Amino acid sequence: MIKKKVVMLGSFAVGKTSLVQRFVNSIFSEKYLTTIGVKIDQKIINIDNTEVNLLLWDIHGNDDYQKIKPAYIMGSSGCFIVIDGTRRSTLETGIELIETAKKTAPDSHIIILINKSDLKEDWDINDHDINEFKSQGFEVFETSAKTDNTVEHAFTRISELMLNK
Amino acid sequence: MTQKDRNLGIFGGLSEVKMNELRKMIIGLDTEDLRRLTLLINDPEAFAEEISELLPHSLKLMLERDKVSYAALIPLVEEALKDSIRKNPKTLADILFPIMMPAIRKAVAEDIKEMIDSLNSTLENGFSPQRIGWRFKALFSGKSYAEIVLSNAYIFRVKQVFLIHKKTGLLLNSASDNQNPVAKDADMVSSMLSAIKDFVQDSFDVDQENELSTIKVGQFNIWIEQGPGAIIAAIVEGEAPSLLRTVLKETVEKVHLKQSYDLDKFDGDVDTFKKTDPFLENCIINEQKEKKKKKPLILIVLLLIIIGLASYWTYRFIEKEIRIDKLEDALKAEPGIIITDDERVNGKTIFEGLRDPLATKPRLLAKANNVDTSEVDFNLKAFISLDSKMILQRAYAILQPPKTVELSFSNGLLFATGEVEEDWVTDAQKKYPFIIGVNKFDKTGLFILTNRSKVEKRILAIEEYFFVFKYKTVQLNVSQEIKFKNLIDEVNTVLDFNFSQDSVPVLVVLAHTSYDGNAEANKNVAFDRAQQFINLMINAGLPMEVLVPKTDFIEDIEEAYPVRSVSFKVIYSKPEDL
Repeated sequence: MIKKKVVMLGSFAVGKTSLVQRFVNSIFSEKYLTTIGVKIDQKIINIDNTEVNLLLWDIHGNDDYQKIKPAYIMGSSGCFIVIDGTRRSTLETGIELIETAKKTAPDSHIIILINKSDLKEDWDINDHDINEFKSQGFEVFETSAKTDNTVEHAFTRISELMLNK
Repeated sequence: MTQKDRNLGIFGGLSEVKMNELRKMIIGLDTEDLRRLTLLINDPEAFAEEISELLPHSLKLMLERDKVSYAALIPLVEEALKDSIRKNPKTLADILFPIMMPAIRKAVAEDIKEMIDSLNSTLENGFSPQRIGWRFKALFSGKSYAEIVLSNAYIFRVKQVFLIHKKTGLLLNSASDNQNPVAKDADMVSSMLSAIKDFVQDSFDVDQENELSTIKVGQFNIWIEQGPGAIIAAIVEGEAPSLLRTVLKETVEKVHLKQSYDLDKFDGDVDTFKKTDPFLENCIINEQKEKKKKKPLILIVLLLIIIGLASYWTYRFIEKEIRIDKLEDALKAEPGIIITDDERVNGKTIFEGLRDPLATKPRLLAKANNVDTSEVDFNLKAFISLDSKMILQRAYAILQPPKTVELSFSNGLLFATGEVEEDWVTDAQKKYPFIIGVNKFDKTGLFILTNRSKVEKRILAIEEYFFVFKYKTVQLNVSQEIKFKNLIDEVNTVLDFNFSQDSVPVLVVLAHTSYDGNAEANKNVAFDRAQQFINLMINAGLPMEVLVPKTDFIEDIEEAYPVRSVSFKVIYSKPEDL
C-alpha cells in the first residue's frame, strides 16, 4: 500500500472544502479547520493497478490574521493550490503559497486548481495568467465543485506525478 | 406661467398630479418615494437605522455563501474581547466565573485523584515476592520488565497503537486488540493526531522536551511518544501507570534501531514497516487485573453461619466422642466391670460386657464423666468378680464391720485391723468362708474388746455424766433429756453384766451441795434432789433396788461438779448389802 500526503492550499473562500467534499472520505468535522487550521480527508485512487491512499490535508485559508503553519505542509508529496477565478487577490495569495510550499516541501508536486469555472464570465483571471503558471511548469485545472468532474482528473494527475508515472 | 412651469419646460403646462404620474412611469418612484430616499441620504442616523435591519440578514447570507467565514470574524471578536478586558477585566471575570470555578474544581480533583492513584499504585506494587517473580518472567520471556508489570498489575487496556511517520503524519503500521478498534479510520486519525501535535507544538511554542504526550478523549487517553522519525500513539482505556510510557519509549527506540533508514527514505510505501508488527503488538496490553469485586455481604454472613454451625457440630461431635472415650476408660478401669464390646446404634453408644452386682453402677460413672444417659446404654451381664477390690467390697457387705474396723485384702487373705467387740469377731470367723475369693481371715490386727472391758468402759462413761438443776427443782430441759436417755442406755448395759456371781452393780446418784449457809439443810435439799432424779430413772425403767441416793459436800472449789448438780458412780456390792 502506497500512502501519500497531499495538501490543499488557498485563500479563504476559494472553495477548497467544497471542491473536494464530494470526492473524499471524511470523518472529521469542518470545525477543525477553524480550530486547529486543518482537516484531514482521505481519497483512495487506483493508478495502473496501484492503489494509492491519499491523505488530504485541507489547510485553512491563508490570510492576514492566520498564517498557514509550515508543519502542516511539511512531508507532503502533492500540493493543490486553489485559486478563486472570480477574485484576483486569491491568485496573488496562490503565488505566495506556491513559494511557501516549495520552500517547506521541496519535493512536493504542485497542481493549480482555478475554481468556480461555472462563473467564468465573472473571472478576474485571464488566459495570460494561466499561461504564466503553465510556463513555470505547473499543471493548471479549471474546476468547479458544482458542474464538472475535473477534480477527479486532478486527483488522478497528482497521483501519477507522485508515483512518477 | 410660473417660474416653476418655466423650469419644467415642455412639462410646464402639466399639473402636479400629471407630473407625478409621469415621474412614476419614467423612474418607478413617486414624490413620496423620492422624498424618503432624499431623507435617508441627507440624514446619517435615519440611514443607519434603515441599514441595521438589513445587516444581520446580509451577514448571515454572506456566511452561507462562503463570502465571508467565521474565521475572518474571529480576529475582530478577539480584538474586541481584548479591548474589553483591558478596559475592565472584572466584567469578563464575572461572566466567566460560573464556568471557570467548576472547571478549576474539576482540574484540582483530577490532579488529586492522579496523585492518590499514583501513591496507591506505589504502595500496592512495592517490593514483593510477586515483583521478583515478574523480574524472572521478564528475564526468561524476552519481554521487558515494564511490559510484564503492566500486563499483570494495572486495570487498563491499550486498545490500539499507531506508528506514525513524523514528517508526513502518515500511518506506517498499527496494531489493535482485534476486538473493537477504537479509531474508525486509522489513516485519517493518525494524520489528524500528527496535525494536532504540530498545532500544539506551534501554538504554544514548546521545546523538544515538552512535546504533546497525552490527549484525553472521553474514556480514552491517547499516549504519544515521539522519536526523531516516527511517533507512537497508543489509545488507552482506563488509567495507565507511567510504566506504559517506558514501554512506548522502548518501542520507539526499537523501531528506530531497526528501520531508521526506512523512516528517513520513506516515500509512501508502508509495507516495509510490517517488520514492526511484533513491537506494536507488545504494546497491546489486553490482560486486565481482575477487578476487586464487591464482597457479597449476605453470602459472607451465610457462609459464616454455616462455618459456625459446622464448627459447633464438629466440636460437639468431637467433645462427645472424647467424653464417651473417657467413660469407656472409666468403665474398663472400674473393678467389677468388664467391657467386651461397644457399638453405635442410632447415635447411641451401647456398651456390652459383665458387671459384678457390687460394682459401681455404670450410670453413675456416666454421670461422673458428663455423659448423658440419652447418649449411652449398657448391656452388662451379672458375674462374680475376683478382683481384689471387689472381694474386699464383698467382705464389707457380708461381714458388715463396725466403723472402728478396717478390712484389707491381698492374695486370698482378708486382714482386719481396729477395735471391735468379741461378738463380731466370732461372727466374722463363721462368715468369711462364704466370701468368694477369701481363703483366710486374719484377726491379729484387731484389738478385741471383751465384755468386762466393755462394761468398764461404760462405767467410766456413766461416771462422766452430770446434770445441773436450779434450786430445789429437778426438771430436765431439752438437751438434758437427750443426755438422760443416753445415760439410761449406758446404765442398762452395765446392769446386764455381772463381773462375778457374788456381786451386783449399783448406781449411786450423787447430789452435790456446799457448806454455804445451813449445811444440814443443804444436805437435805441435795438428798431430795438425788431422790427425785432416782425417781426419773425409775420412771425410765431402771430397777429401784440398784439406785442409791447420796449427798456430797463440795470441799474444794476446784472440784469437778458444781453445786445443785447430780453425778453418778457405779459400784459392785453383794446383794445382801443392798
